[in-house]
Amino acid sequence: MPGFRGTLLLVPLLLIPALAAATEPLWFSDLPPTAEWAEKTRRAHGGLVERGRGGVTAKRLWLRAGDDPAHAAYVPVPAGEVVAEGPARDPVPPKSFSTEAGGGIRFEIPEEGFYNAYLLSREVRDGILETRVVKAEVLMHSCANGHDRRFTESRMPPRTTAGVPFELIRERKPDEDFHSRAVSGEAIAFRALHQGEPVAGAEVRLISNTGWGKSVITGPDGRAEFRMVRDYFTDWPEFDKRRRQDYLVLAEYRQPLSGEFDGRAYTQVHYSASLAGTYYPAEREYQSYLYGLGVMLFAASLSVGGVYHYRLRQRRPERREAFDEKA
Amino acid sequence: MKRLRAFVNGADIQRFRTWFQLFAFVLLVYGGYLYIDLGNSLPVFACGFNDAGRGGVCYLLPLQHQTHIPWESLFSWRALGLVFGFLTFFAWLLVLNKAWCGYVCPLGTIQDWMTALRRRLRLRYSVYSLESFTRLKKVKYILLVLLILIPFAIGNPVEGLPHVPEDMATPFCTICPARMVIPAFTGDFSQWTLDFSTRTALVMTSLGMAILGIFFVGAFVNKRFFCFFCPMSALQALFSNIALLKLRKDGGKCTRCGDCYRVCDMQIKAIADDVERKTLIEDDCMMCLKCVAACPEEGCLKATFMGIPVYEATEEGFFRRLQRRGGE
Amino acid sequence: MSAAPQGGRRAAVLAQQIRESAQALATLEREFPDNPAAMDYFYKLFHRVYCEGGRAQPEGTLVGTTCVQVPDEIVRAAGGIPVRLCSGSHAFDQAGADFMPAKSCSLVKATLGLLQDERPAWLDTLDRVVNLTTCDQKKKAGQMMEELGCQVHHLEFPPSKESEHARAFWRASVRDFVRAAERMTGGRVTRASLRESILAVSRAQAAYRRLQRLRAESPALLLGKDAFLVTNAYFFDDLERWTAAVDALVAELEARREAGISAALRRAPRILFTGSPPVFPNLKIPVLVEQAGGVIVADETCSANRMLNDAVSVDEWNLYDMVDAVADRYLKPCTCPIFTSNGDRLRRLLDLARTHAVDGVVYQAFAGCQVYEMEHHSVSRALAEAGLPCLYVETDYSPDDVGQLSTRVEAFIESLRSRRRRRQ
Repeated sequence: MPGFRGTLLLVPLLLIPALAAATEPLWFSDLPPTAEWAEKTRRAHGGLVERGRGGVTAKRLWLRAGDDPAHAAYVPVPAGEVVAEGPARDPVPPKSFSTEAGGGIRFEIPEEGFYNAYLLSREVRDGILETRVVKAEVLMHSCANGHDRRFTESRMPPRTTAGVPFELIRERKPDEDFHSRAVSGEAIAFRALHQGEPVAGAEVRLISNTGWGKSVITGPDGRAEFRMVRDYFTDWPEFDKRRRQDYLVLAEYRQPLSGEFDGRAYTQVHYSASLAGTYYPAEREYQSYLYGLGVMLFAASLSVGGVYHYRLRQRRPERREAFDEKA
Repeated sequence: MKRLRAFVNGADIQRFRTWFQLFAFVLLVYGGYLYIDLGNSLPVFACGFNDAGRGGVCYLLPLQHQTHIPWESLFSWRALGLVFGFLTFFAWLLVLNKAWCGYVCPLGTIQDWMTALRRRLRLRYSVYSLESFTRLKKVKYILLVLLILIPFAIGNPVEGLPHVPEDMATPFCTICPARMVIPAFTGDFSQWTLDFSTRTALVMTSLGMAILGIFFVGAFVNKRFFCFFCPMSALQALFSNIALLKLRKDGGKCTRCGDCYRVCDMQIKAIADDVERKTLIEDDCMMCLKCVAACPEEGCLKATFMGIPVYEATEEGFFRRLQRRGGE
Repeated sequence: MSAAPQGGRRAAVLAQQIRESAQALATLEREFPDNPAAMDYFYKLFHRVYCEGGRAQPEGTLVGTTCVQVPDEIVRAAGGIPVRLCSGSHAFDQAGADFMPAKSCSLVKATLGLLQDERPAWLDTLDRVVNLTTCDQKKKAGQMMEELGCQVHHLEFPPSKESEHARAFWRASVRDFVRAAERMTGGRVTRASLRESILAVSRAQAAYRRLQRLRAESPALLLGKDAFLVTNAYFFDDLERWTAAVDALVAELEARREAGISAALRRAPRILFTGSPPVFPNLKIPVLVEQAGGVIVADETCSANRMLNDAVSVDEWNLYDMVDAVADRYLKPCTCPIFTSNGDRLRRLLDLARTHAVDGVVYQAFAGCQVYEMEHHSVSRALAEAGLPCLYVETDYSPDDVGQLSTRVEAFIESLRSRRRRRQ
């Protein structure tokens, strides 16, 4: 087999779910499937994390199948290679797990910065080499570690991993730091990379939490830019400004190439990659500058009026008390 | 040495202070652009919401975060964060005492600029009457207690009592005018909003914007208006008698002329009337040393660092400053 | 009042006043050896003004004041020339006896005597007076001054200075006084004029403080009789000229110090003089003290230290602050005995005693001055606790008691000398 870099972990094939999973898009999510699993997690800047050995933070990524982020099924991990890399480009050994609720990978994230985790699989079907890359970009940040700007800037840029044939990276905004979040209404951009280089002609599709989707074909710079929709509408009393929503980005790229893999021949390579993330309601949806300014000016004018009135009263001489003799 | 002393004592400390404040302002509001980071325990309002340029963070923000823990955590390693944060704050405070307020605090500097504007416009300043002064003095202590207890109450809900909402996790920061004003100096006006997402958030941010409006007017007509209500000042006051920089008075030399009280931005009467105490740092004092500069009696008031006088009231210095400032 | 017989009587009074001034000056100038050359200016000034009828001030509206606590700066800012009317003349004292009871303050009697009919030469155009409502006798003299034909502004002084409303009351009083001063002089108090007068008075005060600091030296560089003359000159002399003359005196005394020339012997007992103010020509007690061999190195009286010591401190150089600054300076540090408590006076006395290495205190009270006589009780107790001997002298303007007083003063000085010897 042509080799992949990194730790090779073979997981026994589960035929039927694997076949079903073979055709549907697969992606990683940190959202637990049941309340029981949710209890083990706590909120952190990079999403939901768990407590690892000796107090170290750990990330549990569940594998999901389907292109509807809100309703995708939790599936066990199929055959493939699982790789992860830490912020300093150090290899991190993820462990696969399989439970009744679903399967996925888990690894420890002690360092600040972005971890990249991949599930790579290859299979020849109908003369096409299906190469699938399921990617997760995990942020680890704790405010207790401080906010050194230089450090943040050095750990911010998105990374590709050598040996991964096709993947997506999310472009950073200018002045983005570890506290930044994607919000509805804002632009979000991705790049499709083939063998580490931007590739033209890839179809990149962004799917929002409610299933809204948009496709873009990349140009020579490999970029696909979208504007995240606003699709969280609710009655105002129920509005939660911290409501987490998931988005899914799927990329596909076909390359005519002949070869042989695992004893079978192919004439085309079909790459598919996935990258999921979270987005939140934009501040604009619940914050008002106009009202803020209004309240401030109102308070200020009351104060000015108060001071002016007080000073005016000071100038006038004391008013004499008039006694009512009739009472 | 004597000539150096005479030069310092005769100097116009107000001019020095204006420049020093400008330097500290640039350092704390724009220092982040130069990767300067003085830590999270500063005893001044170097606002943490000023993401872009902050050169350090006001201690009250991490304090509110650190008290937002379940009480069991007070006995765990997490409490170390609280302890170390406090010890760093205490170390800063030990050196400059309340001169942080008078010489470094960016919000204080902004208020001094507004006072300078008012003076140029020849508008009279406002003062508190003695009764109002005595009553309002307590507000800063109430604010200090609340900003520690409210986050703690959020982390430790009591059975039967209504839960304190999460939106009050940093109660003081939400109402503090520095949160709106200081980021504005780096072009960030995102804090000038009302947050409608929850009722609590709406009430708190409305309160914050209203206080901002009052702040602008108050700081314009009253010298150092906000400092009278500042919980940081209350926190510092608890330790001001231990610190190394002190304000000392020799009561025997005092004629109770009240010149020091006249010029005091914080309307501290004790500096003029108290002739018994040796160290006179009231809880409102911001150690701007205007009183020392305004005292005509030789050696009556002095600022000492570890016992060594650094700025002393001298007869000659007083008259020289009077002639120079009046000539402006 | 009919002119002719009064006119003759008045002329006699004025002549008597000239005689006693000349006599006092002669004593001051000639009975003490080696006066500093800079003092000649002052001797000549008094001679010219008190004895020869010359004017000290340039042309302008003279505004008489009856207390050091009347804000001079405001009078100057309004374009007036403040002249202190408190008189030390026995001739005027006797003239003023027509108006006042037998047992009353000589100083107030003398002031009324001064204003009666024809003024003395250097006050010939004076008819505007600012009378401060301080002690009973001064306060009631205000109405009498009106009857004598003066335009009087009764400036209201609070009876206590501790409380906040006393301060507010005095500030309001001074603010009204600004308008009254403008009406008196026909001028206007502007920001520039008030600033100028504050700075000019402050320069005079700085000069006085330099002089006072030299007086703390040992052996003494200047005799008290000269110091009192210098400060008495401030009552009526031109401000800038007076400041320059004091600066010249300070320079000369510094030179004398370098050369080792002193005004008194090193072992001469150093005296702190306090109480009713010695006003020229009534420098009776200070002269007696120094003739007996003592030297007055400091004083706590309103014809000297109290008049010039406390300084105005302005925070913002705009009228709203300058006027209040002037008001505060004239109330808060005031150690006049008319107030409800005298803690400040006691501390001032002890501080002066300490900084000037004083051996004893001479407390002068004019006969009939209720407040000074009453304060003697607490002052003597405080001085006793501090281990300072105190000589209490009750006197008035008449020269009859000089003999008896000189005996007492000499005894006091002698006891101070032996005390010093015993300590060494």
